[in-house]
Amino acid sequence: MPDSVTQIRNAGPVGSKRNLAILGDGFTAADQTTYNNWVQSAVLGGVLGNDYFYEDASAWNIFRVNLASSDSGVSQRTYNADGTIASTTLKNTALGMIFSGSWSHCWMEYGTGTETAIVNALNKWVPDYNFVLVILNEPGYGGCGGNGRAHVTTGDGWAVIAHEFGHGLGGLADEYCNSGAFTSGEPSVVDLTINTNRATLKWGNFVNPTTPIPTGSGNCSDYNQGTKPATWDDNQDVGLFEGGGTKNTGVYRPVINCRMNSNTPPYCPVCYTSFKRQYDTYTGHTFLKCYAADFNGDGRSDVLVHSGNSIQTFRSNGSQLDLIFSAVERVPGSWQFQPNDQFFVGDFNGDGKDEVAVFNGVDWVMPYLGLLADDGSGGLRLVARYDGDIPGWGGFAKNDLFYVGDFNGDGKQDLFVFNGADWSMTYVGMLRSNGSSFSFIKRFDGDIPGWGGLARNDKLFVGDYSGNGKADLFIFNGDDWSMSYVGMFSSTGTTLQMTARYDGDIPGWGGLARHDKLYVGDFDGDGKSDLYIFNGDDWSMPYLGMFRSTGSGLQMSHRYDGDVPGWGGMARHDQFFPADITGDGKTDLFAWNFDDWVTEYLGRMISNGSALTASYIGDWVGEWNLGAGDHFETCNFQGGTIRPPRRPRGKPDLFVHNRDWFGMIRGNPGFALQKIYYRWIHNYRYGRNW
Amino acid sequence: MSERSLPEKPASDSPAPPAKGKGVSKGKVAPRPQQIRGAMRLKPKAEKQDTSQAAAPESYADQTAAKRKALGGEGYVRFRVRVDEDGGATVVGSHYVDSTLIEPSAIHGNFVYEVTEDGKRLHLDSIPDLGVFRSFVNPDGPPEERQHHIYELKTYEFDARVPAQGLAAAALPKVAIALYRVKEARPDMPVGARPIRIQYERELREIARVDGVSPRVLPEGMQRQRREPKGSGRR
Repeated sequence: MPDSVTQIRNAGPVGSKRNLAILGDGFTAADQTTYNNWVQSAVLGGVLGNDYFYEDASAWNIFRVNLASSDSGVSQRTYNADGTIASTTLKNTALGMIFSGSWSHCWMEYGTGTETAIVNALNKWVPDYNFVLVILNEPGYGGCGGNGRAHVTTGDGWAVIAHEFGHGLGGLADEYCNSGAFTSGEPSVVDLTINTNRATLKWGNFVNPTTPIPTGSGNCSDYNQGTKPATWDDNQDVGLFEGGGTKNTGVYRPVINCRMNSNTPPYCPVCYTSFKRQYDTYTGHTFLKCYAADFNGDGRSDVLVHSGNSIQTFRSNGSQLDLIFSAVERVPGSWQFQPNDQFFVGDFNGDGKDEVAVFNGVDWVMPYLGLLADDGSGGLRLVARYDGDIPGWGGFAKNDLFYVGDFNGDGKQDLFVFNGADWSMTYVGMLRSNGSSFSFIKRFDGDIPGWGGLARNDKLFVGDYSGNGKADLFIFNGDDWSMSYVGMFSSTGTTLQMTARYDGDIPGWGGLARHDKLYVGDFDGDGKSDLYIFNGDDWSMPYLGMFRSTGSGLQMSHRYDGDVPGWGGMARHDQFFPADITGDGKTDLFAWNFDDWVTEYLGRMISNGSALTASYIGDWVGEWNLGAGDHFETCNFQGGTIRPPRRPRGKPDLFVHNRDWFGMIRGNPGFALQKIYYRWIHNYRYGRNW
Repeated sequence: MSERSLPEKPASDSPAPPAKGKGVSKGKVAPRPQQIRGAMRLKPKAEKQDTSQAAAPESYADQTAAKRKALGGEGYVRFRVRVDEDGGATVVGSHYVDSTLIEPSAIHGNFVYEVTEDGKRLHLDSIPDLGVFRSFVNPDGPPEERQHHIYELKTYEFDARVPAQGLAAAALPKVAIALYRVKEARPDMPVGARPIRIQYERELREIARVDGVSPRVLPEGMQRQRREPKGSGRR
């Protein structure tokens, strides 16, 4: 079997990532499966499948080099008590490493040709590397690390390798004690100090002011300065504990027990944060693309974050988010993530948990549509994929637009698809979900009877305006005709039938206009989706209208000319996000304006069924500094009330996000910031990473 | 409020004004399809499909990548630098890597190198761990073995990377590779425009330095380019 390389994780171009090269020694051609399996279980599943390395998977390319040795196992050497060589049994292996099992000889050593063999293998097989892991086919325990490399045996557990990665990749010091007193000056490493001054302690931002400093004093101490709080977490609560860097006294570590102390616990907050800061640049993570979804069906909104070719999902426990799933390049199935993936969240299989439809029309040689569902362990896997087309639609195209709605009322969300840009006529399609796949149901070529022609700038809005449990469509066109139109199309489950068409006006509105913006929501709580319409552009003042669905048409409930009481004046760039903020079954509006005033405003417009009352907050929500780059996702991260079937769950909350920041804002009874995260979502027991 | 000259909406109980837009109004049927760039692009006729899809495979084949334009001016050189016992340093090898190299915005870790040309930075990067080997702890051994055995390396090597474009344009005798030990790490050490030995004079200690890079240690392709007559692109 010739030597080879397999890139087992492709996080991105080597120059923009960190690159881990894995080499095996003492594995014959017949042993390569053993080697591959060990890499998979101990390295990918163990070291890189847990805490920091799992979270930041997108920072790391991994190259597995398969080198066939002539002999199985590695050369062996024994030492006499005085350190002289007692015996050496050489084997013909790819790298010529020699295992001794002697701690004082680093457990193993290089043979005469090892350095050259390693360098040659790296130069031949790996485009670049920042760290090299050499795996010996040797069942005995032992390892030797440093200088950009770690050498381990198949007898090592992954936790001990993770500890070594703390040195090799994190530049972290040991936090365990062995003997003696530390007598040097301040260590340059982030996780040891001789400083006992709270004000200048280098990890002081993670220490609760109520925690004594030092927290543990004396020989390799535990918490012994006062009573250890009942909720104290030896791994995650930070203090100042004497002993570390192998010394018993004279130097301090941040927590009682970190991975840099006893291998198996996760990295402590200080070490975790050091890793995060060190490699954040290489993750490509931002908070620009976030999607609210309830992935575990507990009634609380979780969040999916998409960055380039990676996704992460974070689960809400009602008050904070915690990482559940991290994937780079692809999920099993397989869907390969790209920057222009579009995600559409919905319960496509009716199991009470959200799945994700994903479409990419530009990054591949053809457009792809996929369906990602629960992988059984909190993550996502691809369960269906359509390459270039779903039979009947006639070909996906770059500008296909997808809309989620259960158009046949079977409890499984389906997809409407619209294309007004890529073909000589405009198309609308209905793709039904059966829970594990989509199937084509209906296509409208150029028109839905009664509409008078689908047009390029038709805008679709999904809502069950008939109240029969099937998602219907509103269509608005303000661009393609001499007047603006609104159409209502009810779903029969297999087709769409026009219910009403409004030419130029909906009675009471005073004229549909080009820049009317439609927002769908059941503002009177009668089970039928109604319409809010806003226009900030076409008239001498902004207008907001409330149009109630009768099931067969729209009736104006209220029109606001220039202001909604309490909002302080509508303005041209007001934006709205429909959501049942109060949980009364009536769809309210979050309102947002960053453009028209000297400061930014976030508002609540609460519906009583026929009218709105507003309130707002300006500039800041708690610590969140509202800004032009902010995006909002309506959600319910607190959980709680679940409305009867077919009634939308209340969405009293907002996820707010921009490139670097992510916030959880409670919207009821008023705005309050629940949580704020910078660059990464992590819940420190005390303190923060900025 | 808007200063544009725009009409006010009629009152809610008044009829809407007549449409003022150009073009046609909707009729009862759709207009004819429009050509796109002179061609009629229509989907094939939609036909009722068998919706009983076969079970999805365990895994689909890889999605097919679109052809991408070659990105010009990218790539970097990875120099292998050996540091001797006396602190002397030499470039012992190089490799061209076909990828864009990004530069970290801050210093982390215990070592950092900076590649400069005449004091101007070409690239820098941090190195977490250098110059030592550690034996793993012996959990079942005598007390003295329940810690790492540290071996200080008399000579060691590290990789220094530099964008190929910057290197190609550089006067090689003026290219320097400096390796620093971070004596006093701070949680936040952003990199500014000045060389880091100046910016972090207090925090860094130079431990090795290569002054001038010989054309002979460049990757072969770059050596060839250097042998060719100087073109106008050379500064």
